[in-house]
Amino acid sequence: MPNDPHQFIEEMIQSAKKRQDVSVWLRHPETADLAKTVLKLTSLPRRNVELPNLAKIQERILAKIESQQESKESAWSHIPSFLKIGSAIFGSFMIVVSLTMGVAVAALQSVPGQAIYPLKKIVENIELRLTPESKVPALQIQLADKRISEIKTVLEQQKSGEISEEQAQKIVSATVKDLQRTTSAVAKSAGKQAKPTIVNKLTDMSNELKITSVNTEGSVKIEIEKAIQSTEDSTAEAIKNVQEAGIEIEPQPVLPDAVTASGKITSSTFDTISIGTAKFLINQDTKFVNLTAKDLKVGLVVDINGVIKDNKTYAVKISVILSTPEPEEPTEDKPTSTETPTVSGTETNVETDSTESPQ
Amino acid sequence: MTELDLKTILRRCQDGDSEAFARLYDEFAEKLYRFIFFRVGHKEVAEDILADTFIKAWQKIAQVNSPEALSGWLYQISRNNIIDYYRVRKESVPLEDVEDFLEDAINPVDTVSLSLDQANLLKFVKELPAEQQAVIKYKFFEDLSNEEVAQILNKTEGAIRVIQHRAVLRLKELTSKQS
Repeated sequence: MPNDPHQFIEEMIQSAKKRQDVSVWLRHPETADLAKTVLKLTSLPRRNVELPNLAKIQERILAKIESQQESKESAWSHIPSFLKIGSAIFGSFMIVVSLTMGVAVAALQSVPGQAIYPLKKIVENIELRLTPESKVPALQIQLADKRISEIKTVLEQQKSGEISEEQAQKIVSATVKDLQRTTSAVAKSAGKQAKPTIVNKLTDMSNELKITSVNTEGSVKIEIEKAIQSTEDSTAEAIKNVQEAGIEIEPQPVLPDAVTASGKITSSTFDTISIGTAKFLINQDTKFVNLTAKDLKVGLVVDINGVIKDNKTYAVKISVILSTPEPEEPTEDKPTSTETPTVSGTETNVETDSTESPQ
Repeated sequence: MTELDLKTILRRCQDGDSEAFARLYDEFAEKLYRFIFFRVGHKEVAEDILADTFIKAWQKIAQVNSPEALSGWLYQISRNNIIDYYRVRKESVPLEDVEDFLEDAINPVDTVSLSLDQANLLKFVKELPAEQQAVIKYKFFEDLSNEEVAQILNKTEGAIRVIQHRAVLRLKELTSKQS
């Protein structure tokens, strides 16, 4: 036995664990039994542990620490309330000034990646702080919708070559993080204010993100999938919060491959139909309710139930909402349905064929 | 992950870089989950404790002086969270047992597929003093390093080597006697 027996056993254990040759110790009469014991200990069969979705837990952790960071960085949490009111008044004044200069208007229309975009976030934060508590969830939903819309714009920019994939990934990643924070806040509000409609809104967002993800790939797709996952988590949390607030709510199943979209048709060919960035393929299984394939025209307002298969979105059922194509009336402060198609997931999903009119 | 990588990541985490923290999570989450799961025996509880461990780690990461200490420190946070979990539950498990040695809720050894020799050895492990049992379990059944075990048991690495030495000698004696 060497001078330092503790170190000696440690070396033997390490060798056995690394499956190195321990035959010298096994042959030596003084160390043979010890080596056998160590070998037996290292060869005991281990129990297999089914690992959870570690990535999902990671998202939860990162969302939490980022929200902590935000509140830490926020000077609002440290200053007295009279100063908060003062700052809010000052902020409002600044908005008015900015509005007159046109800067805030430009900022509100900016998209991530633009130099003026951070101002948009400042304006939004001030707006959130000045909004009465009862109306905060509605505003948060609006902001989340804006983030999704911005993601789509960035994807369009990438598609047209205005920005590289790397740039798109960075911008989408930052926007997704912002979206995650907002949907998480929305989920919390669902319980506080006992608003089950928030659950439907969150489900809609998941569906919209799913449609958006179909035409993406690589690191951008991963970012959007993160957003889908966290929005689904927020939906589950919102359901739980609403139920805990004593309101019965029928959990709306979020089918992994089912998506729906509503809005004006922005383009239509013999085998495709698009509402904004949501593009669906038409095949022989597509059902038409209150219209035929030939009736599909740009401007017609429809509901589309779709399914994602092999990374493509197929239209399963197309139902007409407004039979006459409306003239395009874009307004500045009210986006048209072309720009932001309303993706309504589950309500249309529960329709059965029996409700369809004969074609 | 090399020590240098870990050093860089630790520094970035201490500067508030959440992306670096995500890498830290990737490195340690699986091992920590196993450690927690074996002690609480419940998937969802283990997930929550794992998440809480990393959130606390983020809040206190400035306390870590060297990358070598990081792993053991994370285990120590997990250990404290597990103890808190049992405190809240106030189960029939004696709290001092949990605090000192974190009794397994689930045996990390797959006892179904043991040979007779291995089953005997496991029986002998259970005859060891609690402290020696704990070191053997952490070192051999869960592949923890001396540093990690030292942090969990609040002892020095030297003390762990001594306990390990005694435990292995005792097991050798018991197995020799039987054969």
